[in-house]
Amino acid sequence: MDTHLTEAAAGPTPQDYKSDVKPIWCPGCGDYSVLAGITRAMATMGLERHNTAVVSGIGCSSRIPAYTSCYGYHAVHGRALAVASGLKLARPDLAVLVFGGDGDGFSIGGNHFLHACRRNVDMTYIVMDNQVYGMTKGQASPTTESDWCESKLTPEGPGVNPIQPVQLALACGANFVARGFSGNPNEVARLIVEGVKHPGFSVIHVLSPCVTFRPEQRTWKSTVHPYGREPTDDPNEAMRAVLEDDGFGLGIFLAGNRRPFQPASAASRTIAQIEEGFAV
Amino acid sequence: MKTKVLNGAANVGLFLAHALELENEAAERYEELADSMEAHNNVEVATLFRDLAGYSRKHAAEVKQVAAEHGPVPKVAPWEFQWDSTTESPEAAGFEHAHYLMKPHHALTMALLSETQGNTYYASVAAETKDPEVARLARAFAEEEAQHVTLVRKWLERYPAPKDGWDDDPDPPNISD
Repeated sequence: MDTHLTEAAAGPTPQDYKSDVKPIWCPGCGDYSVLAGITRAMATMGLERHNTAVVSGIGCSSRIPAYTSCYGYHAVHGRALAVASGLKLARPDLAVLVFGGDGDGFSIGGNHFLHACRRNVDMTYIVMDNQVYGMTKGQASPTTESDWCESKLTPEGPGVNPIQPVQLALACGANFVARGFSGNPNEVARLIVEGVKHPGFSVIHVLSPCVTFRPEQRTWKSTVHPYGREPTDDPNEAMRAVLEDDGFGLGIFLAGNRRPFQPASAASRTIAQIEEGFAV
Repeated sequence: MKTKVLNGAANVGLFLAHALELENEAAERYEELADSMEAHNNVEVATLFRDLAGYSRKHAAEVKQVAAEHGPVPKVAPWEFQWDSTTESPEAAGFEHAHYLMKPHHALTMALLSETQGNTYYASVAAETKDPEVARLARAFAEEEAQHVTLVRKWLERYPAPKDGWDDDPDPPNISD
């Protein structure tokens, strides 16, 4: 039997990682299930709450830190990865998980995303993608289709091609890239566990429907499908395969072997040596 | 039809681990739905989901008691549960069916689907297992789920489908029309 079942252990439960704050997402929002996946992953790994940091940006999905019982930081719009990078480099002993949405991650925080991928700091970024700015009442986001005409701001559609998060992550050097779907929180939990365990920067793209502003996304449940390939450690191979993906393939695309970024452990020069360089 | 209940049908420990997960996930989901309905001031449906969560918690406690009589329940990673035809625990109500203006009829329809799936799961285990004790427990749990199905059907008689327009909102969140 293809399982890794372990004997009973009175470890933490998903409930232990939930705070007393009740989510205020819309009923039917995919983010509820992502939260379930997150807490199940945390319980499975037995993460110590006092040694786990949950960092987010701004948006519906960025409310996650309030709903977990770990240390949390609700950062500035688009800057979650910058905050999280600094935290992980200052406190490498912490497990750092970063959460956000498609607008926060690929528009306002797009630049940080590119450089977080290439820097490869050992942390995990979970992007809940609903292809819309929900918190501000439904404007086109960087992942919205070019012909989506349901916003007054873009009555004829955004007119530009959407960003492909998985392709972008691969192109910029993320070391672990996967895609999940909120309708299967247990699989999301597996991807998070794999991502956290994998050294370096892990990107987990989670399709999470916005039932209020993109009600047609309720059909994603029947649109998603297994990616159907074994994960590779070769980014080129992963990219070639992903170029043929329709954006709804679920699974692990890349589990690479780049060495995570490590800051120099000691200063390369003393203060006195630096001062010598400024002597006139 | 070949089902995929291997894990849960394998032995008593794994079966009870599945049963506990099934009931806990069902209760959790109902509670989340109740919370979200409260947040949107849909008190009637929130109360209904809260009641359904209570029943699931009660059933989880019963399963826990049975489990205590059978020794330690193995720990199973979330993605290693095998639920036959559903990706989630069969009794976890589908979030995608929720709506902030939904009526008791919709909530009960969701519950009917969940309870039916729970019944089907236990019946599948009972039919497939080679372990007589698993078969006995699975039959008993299937019977209990069947009673829940009957109960929800009776409730549904009190709450017929609302007329079209139940989701009309004079102040909708989406003003793109």
